[in-house]
Amino acid sequence: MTELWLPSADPTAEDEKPPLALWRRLGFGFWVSVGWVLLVIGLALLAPILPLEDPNATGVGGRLEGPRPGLWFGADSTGRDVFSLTIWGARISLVVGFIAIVVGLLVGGSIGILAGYFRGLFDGVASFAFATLLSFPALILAILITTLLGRTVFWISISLGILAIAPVGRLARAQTLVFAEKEFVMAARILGADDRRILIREILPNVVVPMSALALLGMSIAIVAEGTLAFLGISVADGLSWGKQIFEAGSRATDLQTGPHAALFPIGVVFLTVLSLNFAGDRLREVFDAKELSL
Amino acid sequence: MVGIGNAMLREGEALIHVEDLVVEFPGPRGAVLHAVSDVSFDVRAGETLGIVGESGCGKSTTAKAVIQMPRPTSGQVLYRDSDLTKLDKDALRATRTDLQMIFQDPISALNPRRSIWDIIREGVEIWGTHGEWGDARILELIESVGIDPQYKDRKPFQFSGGQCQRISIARALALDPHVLICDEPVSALDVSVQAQILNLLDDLKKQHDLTMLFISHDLAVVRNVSDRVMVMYLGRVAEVGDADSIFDNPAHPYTQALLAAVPGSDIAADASLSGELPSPLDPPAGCRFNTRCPHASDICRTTVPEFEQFGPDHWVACHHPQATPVELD
Repeated sequence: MTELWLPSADPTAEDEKPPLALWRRLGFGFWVSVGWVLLVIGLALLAPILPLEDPNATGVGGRLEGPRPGLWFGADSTGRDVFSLTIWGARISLVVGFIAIVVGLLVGGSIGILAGYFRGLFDGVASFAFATLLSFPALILAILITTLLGRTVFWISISLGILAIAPVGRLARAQTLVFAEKEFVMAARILGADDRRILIREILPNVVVPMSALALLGMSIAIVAEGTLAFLGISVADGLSWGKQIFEAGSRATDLQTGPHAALFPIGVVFLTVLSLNFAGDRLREVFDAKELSL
Repeated sequence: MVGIGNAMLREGEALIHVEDLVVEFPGPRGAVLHAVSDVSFDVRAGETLGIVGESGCGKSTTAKAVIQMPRPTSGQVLYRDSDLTKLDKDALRATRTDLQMIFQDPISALNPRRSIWDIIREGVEIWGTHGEWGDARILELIESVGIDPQYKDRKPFQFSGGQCQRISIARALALDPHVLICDEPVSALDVSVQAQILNLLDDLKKQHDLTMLFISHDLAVVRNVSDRVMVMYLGRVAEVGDADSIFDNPAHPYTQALLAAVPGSDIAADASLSGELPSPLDPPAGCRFNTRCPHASDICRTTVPEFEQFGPDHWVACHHPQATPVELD
């Protein structure tokens, strides 16, 4: 065989220069986005031990007092510390976003992959269920679930998670259809791999990248959706969230005029977080699609 | 190619013995797509059978039906003494490891998310490492297909098409198969790389005592690698025999047309093909080649020709064969 060893006649493109490390290919913007999200998560996790004002304590600052050192985001109409409110609010908003998309990924993802792989009757039923879910007005469904089952973090997360099932499931199904046709799946079957092994080793690794990109987008959508529910006055009954905070700060026009900072700061944090999640998701998909899938 | 009958099946030991293989797929609006119709052939141990024909003639489908991917509509596929079409799922899974396959598109044949080490070890991973099936043997295998083992942790996209085909070959050989089905293995590769892969296959065939089914539309390639050749047209076999008979003394008008299309061929140009391949949804009655055959007569449009012997190992299914039969003893 040695005479067949002809690297020069059959070159790999990267013989000369090794491919950029993955972290370099993802780019600066991706890491800034990830950094922001991690910062918000970190602050939210550490909220109980950070030297913050009690978010529920009124009169910490003056009524709608503007930002100043020590009261970074100013105070709201009852004199609560907006900075502290925002960080404590992140806890519930992030948890709702996270649980929602995990539900979407686990339920929608597995149904979608199985439907795309096994086809047949199961696929028909699953596709019909996805279409039904998608055609149902999303907000109405969320309102229905939360009113019926309770305005707790758990049920709000679940109701938003149910809304994520159909889009995630459709993507998973479409991706699986593409990859199940590939010859490496047939090769694995000829080698003796059973369905379970093919699903886990061959299909899942290929479907998981576009899915995780979608998960980041989905998490940002869930955070905004929580805000929407809050704005309708039906988010978490007890506790703080970004949506609830913005709703309370922005529900009276005079307050908005005299002290817009009470609403604008949490809005800014939501905006940056959602933007970061979107951007990171997009980048992830771009890099993996372009580099490894198109070849 | 319109041939029926099993006259061309040889006596004696065959490793693969395919009889009356039919593969049909559901077509649009209840129609039936006749991908492979009544195909019979046999392959002896150590032989390479080349299968040639235009795109859509059923050559890949035939090969895939041999390994039950998918299971054929009817017919039998004997491998050694077991009928693969009758094996249950688990028995088939175990038997099939003995018949491996390499594919036309070397890129889509490799999972982009796995390292080539994982890809090549897959078979051993499934069936367990024991004795001489250890990792040392896999490394040896990687080296024997001409890939530097130090690249074993790389992903497929870091290799060229030719290298990916080598990796596919290594994966196929990891379970020590006896049969290697090559489905257009060099069609997607540059000409310079084609020769390397063909040489590699030839070397490995000797080293591993492989029996091969070699599918290609490239007649030069097929002549190079095959001991015997089977020419297919629209799901049926037209002509089958040893490579020299088929290439030097082609008797079926379709074989002649294929050969006439090769540049530099000394076969008359008027034998070359005109017209379109008819739809396998509605194949012509009689000889399936009658719509494009310059010698077609009434009988060709009504009666499916049976195989007739033309030489010691040369069989033709044609009502008007275009060559002189070799005298048989």
